[in-house]
Amino acid sequence: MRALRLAAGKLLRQISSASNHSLVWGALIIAALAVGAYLVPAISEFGAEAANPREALQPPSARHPFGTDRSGFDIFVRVFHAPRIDLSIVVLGVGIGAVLGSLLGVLAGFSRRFMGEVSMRLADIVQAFPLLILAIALVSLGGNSLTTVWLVLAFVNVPVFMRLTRSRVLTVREQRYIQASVALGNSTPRLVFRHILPNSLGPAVVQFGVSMGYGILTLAGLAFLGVGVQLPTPEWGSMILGGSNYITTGQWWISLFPGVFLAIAVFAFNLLSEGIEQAREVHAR
Amino acid sequence: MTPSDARHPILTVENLFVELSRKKAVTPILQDVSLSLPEAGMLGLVGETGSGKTMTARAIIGLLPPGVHVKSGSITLDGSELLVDNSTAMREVRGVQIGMVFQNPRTALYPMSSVEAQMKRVLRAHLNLARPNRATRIHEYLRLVGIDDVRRVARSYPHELSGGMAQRVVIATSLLCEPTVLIADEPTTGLDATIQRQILELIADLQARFSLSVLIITHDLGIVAQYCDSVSVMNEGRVVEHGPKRQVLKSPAHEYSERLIAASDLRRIRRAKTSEPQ
Amino acid sequence: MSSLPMGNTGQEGASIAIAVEGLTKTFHTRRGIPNVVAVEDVSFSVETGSTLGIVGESGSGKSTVARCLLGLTPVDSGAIEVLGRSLVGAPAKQLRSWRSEMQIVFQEPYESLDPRYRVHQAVAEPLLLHTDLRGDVLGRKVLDLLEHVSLQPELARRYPHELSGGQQQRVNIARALATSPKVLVLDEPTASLDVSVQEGVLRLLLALQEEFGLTYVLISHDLTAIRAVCEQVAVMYAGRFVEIGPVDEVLSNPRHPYTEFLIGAELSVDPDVSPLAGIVRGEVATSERPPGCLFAPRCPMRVDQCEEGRPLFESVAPDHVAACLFADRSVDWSD
Repeated sequence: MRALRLAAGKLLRQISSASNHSLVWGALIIAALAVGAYLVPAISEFGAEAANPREALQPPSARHPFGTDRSGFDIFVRVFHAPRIDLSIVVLGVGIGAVLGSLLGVLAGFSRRFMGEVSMRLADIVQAFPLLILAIALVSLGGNSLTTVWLVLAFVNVPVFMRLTRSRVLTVREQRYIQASVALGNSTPRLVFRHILPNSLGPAVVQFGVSMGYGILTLAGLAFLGVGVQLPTPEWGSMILGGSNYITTGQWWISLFPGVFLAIAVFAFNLLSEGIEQAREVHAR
Repeated sequence: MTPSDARHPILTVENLFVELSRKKAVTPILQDVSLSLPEAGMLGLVGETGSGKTMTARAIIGLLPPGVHVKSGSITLDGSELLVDNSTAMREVRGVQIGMVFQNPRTALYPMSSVEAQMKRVLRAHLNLARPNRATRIHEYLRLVGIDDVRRVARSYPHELSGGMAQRVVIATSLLCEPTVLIADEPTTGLDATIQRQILELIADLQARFSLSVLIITHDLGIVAQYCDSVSVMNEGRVVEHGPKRQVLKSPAHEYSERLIAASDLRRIRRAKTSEPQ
Repeated sequence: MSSLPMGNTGQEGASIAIAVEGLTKTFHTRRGIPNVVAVEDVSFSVETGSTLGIVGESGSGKSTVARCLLGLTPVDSGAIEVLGRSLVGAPAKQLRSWRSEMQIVFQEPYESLDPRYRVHQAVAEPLLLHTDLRGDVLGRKVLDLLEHVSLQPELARRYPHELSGGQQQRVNIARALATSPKVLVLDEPTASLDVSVQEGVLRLLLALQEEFGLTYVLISHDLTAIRAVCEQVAVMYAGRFVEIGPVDEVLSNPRHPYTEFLIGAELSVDPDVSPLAGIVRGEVATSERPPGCLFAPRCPMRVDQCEEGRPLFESVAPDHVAACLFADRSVDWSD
């Protein structure tokens, strides 16, 4: 244990001496959340979905560091367990949205005329709706399940990435090195996939971090409104919802701890995207 | 001191050290730079990319980029020290007494306002002129820099102007407050030969008419040979040679100036087809 | 004017690498904005192994000529033959395969390189496209090319932004030479480089021409560069050639007022050599194209006759032609 602490301390010192703090800390926090999601439930004596009514509504103590909720769930375990749902659904949803959106963005940027116009107007329509309300509407259309939630996350992110990548492609295709690549004898497909695409993805990579943060907020927001993830599945938004009635009666810990973790996760993703942006700037100058 | 400094120097830079501090690392940018611009004279400051010539100009007008600061040295304008802590007062002095002309005139102009609007802003900031007189003065200065259809140009936005016309506007703007010193940083780089000549003739003409003291920063020794009185050669953050242009260009004392002059005369490599690439 | 104004009269032995006739290119812009005539009725030919310089100011159309020469910009009318192949109307696939024999080096050394390609990847790309070289053989060929342009092999793993401007331009040259082209178009290859670096790049280009028998077209606004590497020079103004001839002849005995002005505008580094006293007023008109001589509005010799039609090329010396009514008279600049 002591050796572990020393090793961890050394690692931390090395990390903090690195130049890109945002990138390192963002990635570290996210990694810690992901590892914790499996480590903490494994070593804890309480199950994440094991109700224990006899120990309901207990304040934080040595036995229950974050207290328990009205059903006697141990909040500590559940808060750590939650990223399994939160992170994986958001990674899946935003990831699919990002890949699809970026590909469409390249196509829209490259075939300026028809494809470009039509797809951009469709994106306008999607983006005209407030994110959360659109998500609720779609989930209620598609049925209240986790599958629908990640599909919705993908759907709302497609226009974001498409717009971003398209505008980047429009810039990149006018660059001198693209003209030089044509002069070298590149065919159009090779030009698109070897030169235009790699040079157009940077902003999308940065946006991915930001979208992940928003995605977590959306997922939790939906759960808070009772859409998507349901109790007893451990998830930050639904846990905040579960504790919201008790805040006025003094049981603050039920909502506070999932709220803090939610904030940390969003913060970490924003840090990560800022770090990526910094790294890119250094690289591309 | 060289003979060209016999006239009273209006702008002097003495033993200027400028450095870049980033994190804990300190990189020297200018080392022991001394310049002397004689009153009503034209001094050429030449050097290649990264020689520190632009940084010297920015130190003089007090516009060093973030992280770059003066370590020691002295910059005086008409006898008064510019490198003092009371920066707002000094900025005012610099803004009024030193006019600045940049390379790439179109980016030196503010893209969202018309020529007249941005020139008015300069007047408002520095001179106490009655409103009706401002437009008159602006038109007068645009005419001064050889613009014929003053009204059209005054109404134009920077992107509507050609490079040469934009540089004329920049020069007119820099002269609005009747500065004693004009600093021109690569004023003709990127302009065509015909336009370059027009702009250089204009600067020379204005210098003669208003007894302006002009510091021209350039990489082009031709400009120095034809338009300047004296020249300072910079390399790697230092002034390696200073003197009257004839002396420096005809019999350079420093090995770097010699190399620079030789390189400017591409006639040497004419038909030298047997020579090895370096 | 449609016959070739320059070139191979009496030299049956010399082969022609590039022949251009009546090249015209107009850029069509959105409605409401006048079209821009970039190139109008340009004809020339370049002998194998020699260098033609095209000199002119920005907006003169010289870069458009460069791009048309490589089929990078479709032309409106005219014929372009490079190495005996007619580029106008050639299918894209055919054009692509011909690119191994004709290459271009652009003005902006950094912007011409894909920022994500390391030096060795950039230089290898044309070889991957046009040859069967792969693996170690390819790697050796790349190092060989870098050596040819005097770049140390350590630089092969660098990214473009980690190189100096001169090194970047050498990478561009190595990449252009990779497939052993016969024709190289150089579009202001030294314009953005420091003078001392310019010299090295020009020397390199001359040495490579000597070694591989390359045919060059050098586009430049800089007469010193033209003088240093070209045999023939064409002076371009507002989309048209106004004077063509052997470089010594044209630059020492200019017969078009614009050429004379360009030469006079040069600023010598010798303080005792004064430039031409007169300066040309005004700027190149880009939108208006009067029926007469396009230089007439700025010309000190203008007479009414100048505005009646485009002046034809007049022969003033062997191989030396100028499109001016007064090609046989000197300009009086004192006004």
